[in-house]
Amino acid sequence: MWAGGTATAVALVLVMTACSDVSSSTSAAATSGAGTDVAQCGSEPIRLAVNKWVGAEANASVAAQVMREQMGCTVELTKIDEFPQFSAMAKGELDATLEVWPSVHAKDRKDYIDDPSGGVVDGGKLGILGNIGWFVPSYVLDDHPEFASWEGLKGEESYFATPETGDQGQFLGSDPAFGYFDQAIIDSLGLNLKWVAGGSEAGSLAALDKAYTANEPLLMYFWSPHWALVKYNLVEVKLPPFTDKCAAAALTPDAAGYDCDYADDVLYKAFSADLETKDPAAFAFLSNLQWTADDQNSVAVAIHDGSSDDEAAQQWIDANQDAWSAWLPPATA
Amino acid sequence: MAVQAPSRVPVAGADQRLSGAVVHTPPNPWRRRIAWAAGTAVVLLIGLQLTAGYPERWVLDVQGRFVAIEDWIIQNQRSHWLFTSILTPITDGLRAALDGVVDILSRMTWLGLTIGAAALSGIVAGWRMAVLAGAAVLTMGVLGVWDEGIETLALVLVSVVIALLLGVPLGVWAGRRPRAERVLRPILDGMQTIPAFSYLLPCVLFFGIGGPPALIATVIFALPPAVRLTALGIRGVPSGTMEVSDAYGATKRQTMRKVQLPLAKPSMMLGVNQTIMMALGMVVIASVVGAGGLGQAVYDGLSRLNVGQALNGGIAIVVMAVALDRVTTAWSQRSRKRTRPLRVAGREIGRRAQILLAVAVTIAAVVICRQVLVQQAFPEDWTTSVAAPANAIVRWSQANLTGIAKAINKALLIWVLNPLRDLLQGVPWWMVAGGAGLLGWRLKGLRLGFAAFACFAAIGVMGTWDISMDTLSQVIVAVVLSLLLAIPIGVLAAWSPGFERGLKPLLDAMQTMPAFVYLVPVLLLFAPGRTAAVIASVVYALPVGIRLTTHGINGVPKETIEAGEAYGSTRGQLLRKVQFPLARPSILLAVNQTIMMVLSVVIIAGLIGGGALGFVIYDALTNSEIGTGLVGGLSILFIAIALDRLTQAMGSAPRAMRGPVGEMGMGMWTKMRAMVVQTGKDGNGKGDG
Repeated sequence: MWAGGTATAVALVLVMTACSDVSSSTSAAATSGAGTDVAQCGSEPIRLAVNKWVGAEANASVAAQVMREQMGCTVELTKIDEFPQFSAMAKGELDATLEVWPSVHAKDRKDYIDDPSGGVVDGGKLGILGNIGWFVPSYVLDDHPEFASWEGLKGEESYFATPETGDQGQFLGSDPAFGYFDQAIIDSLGLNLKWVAGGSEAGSLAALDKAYTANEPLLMYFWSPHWALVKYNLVEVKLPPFTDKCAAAALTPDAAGYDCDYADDVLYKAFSADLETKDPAAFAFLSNLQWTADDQNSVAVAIHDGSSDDEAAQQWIDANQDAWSAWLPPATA
Repeated sequence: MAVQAPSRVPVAGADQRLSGAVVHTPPNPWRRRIAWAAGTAVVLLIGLQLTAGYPERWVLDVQGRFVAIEDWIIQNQRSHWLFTSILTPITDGLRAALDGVVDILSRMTWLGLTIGAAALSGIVAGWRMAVLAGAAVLTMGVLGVWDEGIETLALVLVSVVIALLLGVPLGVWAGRRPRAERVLRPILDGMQTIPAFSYLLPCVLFFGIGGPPALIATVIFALPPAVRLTALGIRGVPSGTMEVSDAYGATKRQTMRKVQLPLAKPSMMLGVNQTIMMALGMVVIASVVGAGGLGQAVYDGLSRLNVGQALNGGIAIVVMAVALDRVTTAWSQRSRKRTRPLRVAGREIGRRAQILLAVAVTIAAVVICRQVLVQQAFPEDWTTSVAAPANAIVRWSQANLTGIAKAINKALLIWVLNPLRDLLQGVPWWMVAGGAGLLGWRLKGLRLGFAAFACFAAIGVMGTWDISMDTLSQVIVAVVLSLLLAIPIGVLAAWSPGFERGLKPLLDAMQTMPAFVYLVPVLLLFAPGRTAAVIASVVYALPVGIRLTTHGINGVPKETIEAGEAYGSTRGQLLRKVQFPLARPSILLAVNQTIMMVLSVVIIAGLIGGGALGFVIYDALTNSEIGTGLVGGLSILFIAIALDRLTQAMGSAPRAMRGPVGEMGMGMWTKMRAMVVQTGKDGNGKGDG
């Protein structure tokens, strides 16, 4: 019986390899239709990381599309969690990632980018300012405009109470992968809030969706840019402005004494140290790539609403030729 | 019927009740029970006054060492010989193997793969399985996840082959030498219980991203059943048979090849089946390291809050799992009996002719699809999606069930979860550990008592006491809720074969559906929090409880029941006095398995608001604190070992079972599946057809 199964399998394998001339690589590099004044990619595929949030898909699919059409590149997109990607770039298994949040990857930056033997280089700004903060749905402010800042929140925290928190107000945390100092902020500002582990982006989104359908109070950790901000209309609660003291506190294990807003995250790109020699044209293009939160959101919302990544990217590309043509490196470079 | 074998551990007169049709009434135990309960309550009240938790100065820094290792890896991964001349070639080899299989499967085209899968299944497992396998392959296409399905299938195939190449020799070794088995057992326990997440990300440091780390992690997870069931089969060969073989002058090697391995084959086939199922269980989590495939489809749906999208991938996984499970099960059963020859129009078709025919048909299908239809992937026009209706159902329940969900949430938190957590965290550590130790001692003896105590003490030593108690409280609540639902449903299924038949596909789907798919609806109803975590765990653990209960009740001999009826027992009396006592080993196994299942989703529970250990592990791993992550994983392992050994001691179920499952302390799926497989063939009139 074993012999039977094996024989069949072997026979099939032989057949498959023997008559495999048809369409084995239909998706190979598309026509490089654009003008000759644009630098062209080499023959090796450029491998871009696609992280799990929709904004990252937007970055990568637009970059890939432009590189394929204008520079004749072969681009491979690898969906991967944002933490393993650094190790992969160091080893040259990935060439680039396009949206790194500094607050999330402080340790990776130290180990892989700042350390010359780390194998990863800073690829310049993405052009988008990331912003982590405390958010409430806008309808909460209709009844309680004072919740627009933390001073107004103080004393009224029980408005956000849930069975999980009893008399205290609930503050919903999110994916622990993102940097968070909420407990320290709550303690330092003396707020009667209880931090509850949301656990994931999906958890935050579900809580948001549930709150919106039932018009329930919700106070949560969230961030922009994010398609949900377009869809749900969230308002950020003002916290005290970021200070050097907070910057110092952020480096301690418990962030004790951290009593202000999250620092702005200047999102940046990161490349494998080998990319520049492997493919100078792709390196130049990816270094030039910069766009705005509105650009990214227009693509991300389309993806979320059901367009494929490629369709959504193409729509933006068709409408924004000026933006992306500035990224193209000249042929002589 | 294995389960009726008399229990070897004398538990409260169980022997008496198990041994015959006549049921004696044991002496009223209530007085003693009440005394015990009162005593426990007093002790707990005193405990709450004492210093709570575990003293910090006794905590060891296990985590620091892992951090040092990780830093070393990051520094050296581009230059050190360990990476350049050992790990990199391994990684490249794995990647090539995986890519090769994906390539072959894709080039077979959708028609060729469908026909080929059907033909192969037909040869090894009969024409029914041929239809099932073909339909399963087509389903991937119809749901629009063809390419993803191919990637996943390749990942499963390659990892199963590797797991068997490693597992079978190890199993033979363990089967022949008890000492080897003793060394392997805790390692295998660890491989099955430590959450995959704990070692998946470290795998990336060694094996890069994409297929290779996913393969390694899958092999780690899928290896134990291959080892265990092989060892079991080898050890199950009767010593008489071996002596005969010796007497005829066979060498050790001949005995192994000609006697032991063939006789161990049924058990080894179950090992193959289990290895496949475990490998499929890793598919979703593997997408975190870039393995792609169906897991990615599910994961994408989750991050977009799109239940329907996740469901497309989820159903494809379920169908693949069910088909692979049924085909390999049928194959292993067939390998025991002589296969009836295939007859077409009165003429017998030999085995060789069947194989030739299958190969010819498959080649024809491939050629037709490539040359005539000029297609490779499944044609897009024929695809459909379950996304829209599924999302509509979710919307509806969100609109209509929120009130009930809110009430459940409130009641569960305030009346159950909070008090239990406060109690476990509020008493000193030695009281919890001592309680477990005392229970172990009373159930089985000093050794188990010490072991249970040591497990809890170890949690304290590693510095995760408080959060482990938080997790433990959620686990207990989820287990109790699961059993409260599972036992009545299981009894109903045992009473009504029609109900059982209707339930079967549902249970199959629940068991193989990746948890990520139903997390979103649970989240949308309950919002992230401990309630959502408990509910998701219950959904995950329910099928095992139901199946084992049904199995136990069905296993009660007909004569016993007839005797009871002859004495004029009502249905309720029969159930209370005859069926439950006799089904006790099976029901206790259900308790044991439910606990293991709930523990295996602790991390996932952490992702939807369960907090505690699951959250800490995830937090640590995503923030490159591999040490903290592994310590969290070990904490779960220790809770699991303690609860597993204690519940196993309560009923002797795993020992009493024969056939494919025996005394090696099978991991969760293995035991459960073995029982379900048995149910299917026991021929008590209620198995599947």
